[in-house]
Amino acid sequence: MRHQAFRSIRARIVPRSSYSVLHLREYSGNEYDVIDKALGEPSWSAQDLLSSGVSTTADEITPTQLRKLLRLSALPPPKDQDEESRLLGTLASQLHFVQAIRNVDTIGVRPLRSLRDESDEAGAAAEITKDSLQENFDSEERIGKHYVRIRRRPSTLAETKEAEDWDPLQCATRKSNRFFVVNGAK
Amino acid sequence: MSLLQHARTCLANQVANKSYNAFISRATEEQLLRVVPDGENASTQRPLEGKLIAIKDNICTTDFPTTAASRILHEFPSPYDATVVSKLRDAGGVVAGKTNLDEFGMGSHSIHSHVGPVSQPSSMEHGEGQLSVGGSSGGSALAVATDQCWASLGTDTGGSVRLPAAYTGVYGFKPSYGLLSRWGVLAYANSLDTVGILAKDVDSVKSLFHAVNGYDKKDPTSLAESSRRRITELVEQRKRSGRYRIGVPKEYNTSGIDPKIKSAWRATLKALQSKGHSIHPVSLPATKLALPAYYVLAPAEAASNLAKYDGVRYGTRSSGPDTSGGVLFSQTRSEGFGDEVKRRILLGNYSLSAEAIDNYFIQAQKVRRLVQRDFDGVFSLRNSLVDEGGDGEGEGERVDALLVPTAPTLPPLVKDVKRQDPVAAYMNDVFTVPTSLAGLPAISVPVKTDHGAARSQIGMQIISQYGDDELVLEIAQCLSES
Repeated sequence: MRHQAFRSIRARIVPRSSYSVLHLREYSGNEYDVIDKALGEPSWSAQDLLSSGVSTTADEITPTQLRKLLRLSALPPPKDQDEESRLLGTLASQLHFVQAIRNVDTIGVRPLRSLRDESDEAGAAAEITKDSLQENFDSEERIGKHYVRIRRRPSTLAETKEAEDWDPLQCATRKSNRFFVVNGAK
Repeated sequence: MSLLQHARTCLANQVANKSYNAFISRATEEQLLRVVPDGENASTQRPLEGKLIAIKDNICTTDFPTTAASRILHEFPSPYDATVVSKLRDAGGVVAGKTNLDEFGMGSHSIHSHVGPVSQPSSMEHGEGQLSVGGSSGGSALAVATDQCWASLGTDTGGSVRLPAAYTGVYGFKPSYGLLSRWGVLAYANSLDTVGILAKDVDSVKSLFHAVNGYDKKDPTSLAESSRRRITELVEQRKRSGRYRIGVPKEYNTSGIDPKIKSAWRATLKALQSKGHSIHPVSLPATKLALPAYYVLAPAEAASNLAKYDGVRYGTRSSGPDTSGGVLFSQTRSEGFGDEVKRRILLGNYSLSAEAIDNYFIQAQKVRRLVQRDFDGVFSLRNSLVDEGGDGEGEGERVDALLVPTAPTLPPLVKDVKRQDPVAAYMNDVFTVPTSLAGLPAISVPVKTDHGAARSQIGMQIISQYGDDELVLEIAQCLSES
């Protein structure tokens, strides 16, 4: 029923020259009903996510937990009581902000960990088989008499120039010969 | 205008707009004029020949430091170009400089920068003071808006290209996740980070997009050639009528929308209708959950991605011993990172910790799947990334694209943003984050407003199914002609 209504709208041609802001309704009342309907009463308020709106209580972080989190983040412990309560306050409001997801029923939902091609076709294309490795097998040779072992023919070794001919220490500010220097003194 | 004249104009504009802080580093006149061909012998073979392109400073280039607007990378010289940068150079593009941003891309107003905030002058109706340019690609957006370059590259994790595009009145395009290589792009939240394009018209967006798009074996998240071919086939099967079904999700009609944004939304829908497209109300129920899910996932990934900054192999290192308060590297990281970055790292490490990971991180990834299914349920094109449920479960009408505002409000004053509670600032991303979670293509289009503002600062967003990037650009083109 609704579908038909839309079709009839699409079939009607509104000449561009008659498209004037003042006379919109006269030309195509039905069409604007669709827009008015879509943009009618707001469906929710994003403000609800802020502290005042949501009623569920967030997990509370203790000062001990805060110190553990700072250590995990390789950040120094709070300098004083002020900084500690500021950090705790921010964490509390951040956690409050994300509480809404905890009430969602997600039983049986597969987590979306990353956006990649999850189709069967892509899975098959990425499969490692004997055939897909044939080229590598072909470039192997057996060497040795008493201890027979497999190696790649030297002529087929991968090009490593671009990957390996750089100086890992070029951007280090503290170094000694070929070593990075870290001073762990307390 | 010849390429050389255009470059000179950009240079003049860079000087004139210097106080608004769009650039962190930029090419000198001498450097630019040496590489931009002059009118007589310009080869027009390459699509971006002699065009000045600004690069967000979290994308590696060999000719300037890459700092991510962080003290910890203050003068970091990248030994290589990001793949997107070498691609645009191959196409003839010229790197005009590196643009300012929120540190590592974390922020919505480009004020969390080690070198100071980006801003733009306010028009009368906004009152006194300078306006936010949006973030985190604020420098890239402002550089385009004020003709300091021809186009720019930004990155979009939760709206960081589209929001500044809306606030500065330019086009901001976030392609489908995986199309543009992330190799050489400093990771913030790797499962969401997308390189995006800012320009003054749709043709420029298209030519830059086509120049930098392509599979990159150096980026493990780059979409494979075989997948690209399959998606192209799927998209081309659709009958091209030139008339599209445009959806309006009711969950984007929130009570916080500025009346001016709402009237622009209405006017844009009318304009599309007058061009023969049809409008359809749709529903995306998981929209409300997208923002909280995003603010679990992005900080968690950030905590992990930023763990490597210790100042040992590269970057700024604090003086004295490397241990303080019993924690190795904590002094370097404490001095090197800004407050917003530290806030997100701390939250991220909480949601990844043993006692919280199931309730927060994993739960957010499940909600992310619900957001993806929502979109699959309204688009007529199926999602080619998934087999099951690629068609979604929705029983309602199917549409080709969605049209929604880019942001709920007009650009706020910088001084108000600075006073704002950091968590309240997350609200700005409510309309951009769902698309990021699902990896969908979206463009923010500047729309003209009735009340005669000097520059339009309202952006409307066109969103379509994964891989349907050309449709988004086609509808943007259609809107630009109205």
